[in-house]
Amino acid sequence: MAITLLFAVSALTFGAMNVLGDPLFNILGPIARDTGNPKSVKLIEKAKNDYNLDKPLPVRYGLWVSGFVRGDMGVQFSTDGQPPVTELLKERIPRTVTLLILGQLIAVLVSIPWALISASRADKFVDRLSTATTFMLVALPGFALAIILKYVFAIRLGWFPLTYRALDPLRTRLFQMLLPGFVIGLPAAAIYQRLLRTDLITTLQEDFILMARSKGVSKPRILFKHALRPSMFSFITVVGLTTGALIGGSIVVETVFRIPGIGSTLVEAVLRHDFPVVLAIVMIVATAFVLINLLIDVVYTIIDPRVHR
Amino acid sequence: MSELQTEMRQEHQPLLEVTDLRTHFRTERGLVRAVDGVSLTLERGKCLGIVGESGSGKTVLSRSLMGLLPSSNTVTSGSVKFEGKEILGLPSKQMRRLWGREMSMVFQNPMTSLNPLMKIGQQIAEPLNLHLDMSRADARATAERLLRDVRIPEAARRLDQYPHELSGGMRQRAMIAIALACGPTLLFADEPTTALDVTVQAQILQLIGEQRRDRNMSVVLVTHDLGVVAGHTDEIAVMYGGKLVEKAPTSVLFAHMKMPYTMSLMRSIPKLEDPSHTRLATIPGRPPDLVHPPKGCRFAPRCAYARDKCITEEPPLRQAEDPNHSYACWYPVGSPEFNQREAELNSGAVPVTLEAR
Amino acid sequence: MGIKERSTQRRRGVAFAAAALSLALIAGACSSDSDTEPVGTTGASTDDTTTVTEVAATPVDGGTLRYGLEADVDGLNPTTSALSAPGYVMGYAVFDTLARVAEDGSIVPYLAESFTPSADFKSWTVKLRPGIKFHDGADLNADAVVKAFLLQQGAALVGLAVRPFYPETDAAVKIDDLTVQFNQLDANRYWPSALTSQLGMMPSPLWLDAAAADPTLNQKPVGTGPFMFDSRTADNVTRFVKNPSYWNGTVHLDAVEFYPVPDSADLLDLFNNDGLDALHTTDQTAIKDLKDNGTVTNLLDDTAEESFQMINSQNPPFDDVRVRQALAYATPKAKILELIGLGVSRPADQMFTPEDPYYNSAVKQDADQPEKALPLVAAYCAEKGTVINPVLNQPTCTNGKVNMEYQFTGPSVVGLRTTEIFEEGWKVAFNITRDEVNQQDHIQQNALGQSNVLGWRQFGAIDPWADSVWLLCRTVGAISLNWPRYCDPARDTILLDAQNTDDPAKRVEGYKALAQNMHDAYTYIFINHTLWTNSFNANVRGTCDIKTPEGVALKCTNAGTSFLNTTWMDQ
Repeated sequence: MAITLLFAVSALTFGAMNVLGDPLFNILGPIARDTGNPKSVKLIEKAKNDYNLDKPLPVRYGLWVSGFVRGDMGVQFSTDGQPPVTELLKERIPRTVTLLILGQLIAVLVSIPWALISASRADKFVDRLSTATTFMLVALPGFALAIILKYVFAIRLGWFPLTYRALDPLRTRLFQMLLPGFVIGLPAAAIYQRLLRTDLITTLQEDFILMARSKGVSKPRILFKHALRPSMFSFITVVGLTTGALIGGSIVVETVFRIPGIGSTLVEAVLRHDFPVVLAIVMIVATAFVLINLLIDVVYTIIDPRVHR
Repeated sequence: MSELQTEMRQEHQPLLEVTDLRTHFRTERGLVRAVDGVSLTLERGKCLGIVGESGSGKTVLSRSLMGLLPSSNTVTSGSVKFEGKEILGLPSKQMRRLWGREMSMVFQNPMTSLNPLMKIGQQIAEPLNLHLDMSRADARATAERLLRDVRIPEAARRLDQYPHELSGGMRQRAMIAIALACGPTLLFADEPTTALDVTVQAQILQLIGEQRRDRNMSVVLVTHDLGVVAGHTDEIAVMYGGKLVEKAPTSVLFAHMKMPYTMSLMRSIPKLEDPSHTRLATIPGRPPDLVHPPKGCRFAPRCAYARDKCITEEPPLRQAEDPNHSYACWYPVGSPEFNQREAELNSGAVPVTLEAR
Repeated sequence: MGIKERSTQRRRGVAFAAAALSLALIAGACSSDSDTEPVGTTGASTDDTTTVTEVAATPVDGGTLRYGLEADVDGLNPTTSALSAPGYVMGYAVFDTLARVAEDGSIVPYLAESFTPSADFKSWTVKLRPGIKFHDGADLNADAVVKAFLLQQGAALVGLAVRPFYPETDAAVKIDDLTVQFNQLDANRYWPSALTSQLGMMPSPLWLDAAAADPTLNQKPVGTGPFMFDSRTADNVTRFVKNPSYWNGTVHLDAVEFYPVPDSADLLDLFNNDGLDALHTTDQTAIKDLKDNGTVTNLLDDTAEESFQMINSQNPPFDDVRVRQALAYATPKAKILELIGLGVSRPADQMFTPEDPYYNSAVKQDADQPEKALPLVAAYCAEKGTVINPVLNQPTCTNGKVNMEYQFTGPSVVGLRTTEIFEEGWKVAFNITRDEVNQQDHIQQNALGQSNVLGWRQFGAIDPWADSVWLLCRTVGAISLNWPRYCDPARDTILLDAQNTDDPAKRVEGYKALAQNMHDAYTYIFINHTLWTNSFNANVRGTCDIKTPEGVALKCTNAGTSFLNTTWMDQ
């Protein structure tokens, strides 16, 4: 199932990119049209050969797939000193993954206590205030949040560094990713909070919560021990689905905080029509998406003994 | 007053003493008078049955007594004394010391009242940890013993099972085990058998009865089924529309019921001697609107024996021949007006026009 | 390779600075973004300046200079990479050029020891200083110079700017181990200025060979310069470390790190919050802030480029001078200067700044007279209004107005606002179809002549002869560097004469005539002189102390870039 999906995604992307654009032009620029000049013609021939452009589309797709599964994602179109796609992504993916994990961690760690507080005081002032806050976080465009947080916490207060610096040691770089992590994590936290709050409120009306109260279980313990776990299902589903959306969010964050990850690489590659890069990133994101959702299925079975694999 | 006297008084003090309890809910429609001036007492070791249709306020009554209702939107007044101490209106922080330890509750639906994601053993151990400060191992051992007490087979294995792995009857037994864990003096059982099939029903009631006797525990058994309470209670209180309408020792009630409502409840009990597929007599009409309750007797609109007085004047709770028997009816069973109407009804001379009034 | 520039995210003002001089650059590009360039009415800056009468303190060794740039670069291979403005800043750290511009504007030998012309000024003999080594230990010798030159001449795109001036064979010939003879197609008395930028940058021959096999090495340059490549994380930081055996004096800094920061507000934030020690920008808002900041040393230079609207004269209707003239008249230049500029850079009327000896004060850019546009367009449309404009694939005129495409780079808010202001003026006589494209397509379509009108930046060569690469008939072709595709043999004559006279007065006369000729052709609508700054925090010193081994003081900013040979940091 997952494999079929990945094939479909790759075939569609591959097809679209080759049909909608002119790879030769994207590789060579104006030289591709400079057919009167023997120097240019030589380059055109070479590029056609290097990139298999003279072969029919299905053959090229087959070559690409066989390369991809062997870990060879081709060569960047803009080759002036650029490493092969695999090397490029090897360098950049860990940064985005770190950023996303940090963002998700922040989102989950922020949203759970937040939802518990809100749900236990449903429709009271604290809950209303937090509802307003979540709406604001969700409605605020990512770049605006990025700029606001950066201005307040990095420039005004100076608590966080302004920018990512690849030369720094790992711990420093993790710290540099913290504020970007919040930019990614907070809007997600707001969504998770809304969802978890609603589910918690529903759960809190369940009979077994009343039962727990009648046993003399304290309110915080009821929330944590009894209400939280049964309320986590849509939460977990959405955490899984959101990972895809967060990659979108990382585009903005990576740009604002100068983190050379795959988000910013994707934008740049799209602008440059650098199809091998776009294709590789699309495939990696799709694969990650599939894997995460498989993982989510496993998490379900851990959380709920009634779910059988 | 001497110390001895004080002690004596405590000995003779009822476990639970309820005076003019009112529980009202604020809703968008208005104030719902779910419990509207109920007084009753419960002695140690006794079993009180609270009977009524759904919507009569019996569940709200039991939860008010235990203090389990959510504080927002709820207005309570009157007095609930547990072991002589006022507990009505205590914050849940203080109630928590009583809950599970002094009083506990068995709920109606064992399917939904057990935490589906927690092992049975943990659910039993939880109050043991909380109230008795038991170690994990002790709590586990106690839990196993409790499961055996409620006659769950393979108790040790059950400890590590989840509720969905147990049958309905076993779940209800497990719930009883949880409720009994800390040895409460008062057990509320809210429709404990409604969700179970008939053979299991009897076993569960028997179990509650045994445990009551073994532990010298008081039980409040809430049910809509007069048949259920018949063999298992010492006293029965019948509720209608948030009010107590008849109260008597069980044997007295069944022998001399006064309220036409109680009689109707009686008629809706399936009897073993009935041929199968006999249609049970149901009470026509619906329970009263508790936001705008009828002016007179609340049952009057549905009562085939009601007269004008019933509609305009609310009957007070009166004592019957037996001093422990009280009822609220202008024309009780056996009164001349009742008998006259009964004769008319049997002859078909008076059409039964209900609700119209 | 190619005309492609790394369109890193949102890059504003990524001009491929038209370091025309180097002849190397094709991508002199720049985009309608250029109009977002500061424009302004007040004059101020010329070359260097605003600097620094600092007390001659003793330089301190050590420290890492963090230098912010507007964009990252791809390759830094002078023989194959089209260097952008940020590319030059980085390039000058690792490469030395054969010649440099002295403080007085003259061209002096740097890696070279001397330049000697032949009698007809078609050949120049370059003698190298002995004993200079590349970072990888290779010797700087004639072979290295010839190899670099021939590679660049042959390079597909970078070579486009070289080939028009040199014979196909024997353009560079080794005479002896330290002597190379360069042969040109035309006589040129001012040729050595060609060696002050990309063409003059000397890369290691060993590295060139290695990079030919592994192009990723293009990002790890090896030269003779004051700094050696250390490490690079694309789009984040490129680090160079001190060349301990630099041939021309001691290098004080331990290292220099270049940070590409496409957003100029970010760039300034980093600079102001101790994230950077130096920056290079052409953003007018940033420059205004930097000028107001008393503690910052600003090396300002507006001679390096002009911003203008450029018309492709190849296709109808702009093959008719009346239409081009009408567009100039209708151009709301004053409004652009007022609304988009912030009084930071100066308005331009031609490719020379007023301080330039070749400035022709009689030449004024026609604009802001929309009433004069109307009769021109009316006459054209009456005559040729049904001809097809191949760019739009529409008739040249509709309802008495000329149909045109205006191309600008996006996505950019400033670009869009600027476009709207231009349209506001032009629409009296033109129906404008907008074409918003990315930077790369913008440059490519322009190179292929697939547009009508667009914003651009170039000119400002160290010596004006080098700007002829944009102007000669011979650079019109399938891929044109003469972007407007405008060929005027009379202009060619002016250009070739002006570079072959030793009479300064005649030369001045020649370039004044050129300014008039360009004005009359109406292929460029000059807006302003692009202002670049290289700004340094107060603790950065010595940036302007560079001298040749002979002791000639060198100009400390050249074509908008700076040099870090003698820079040091007060700890």
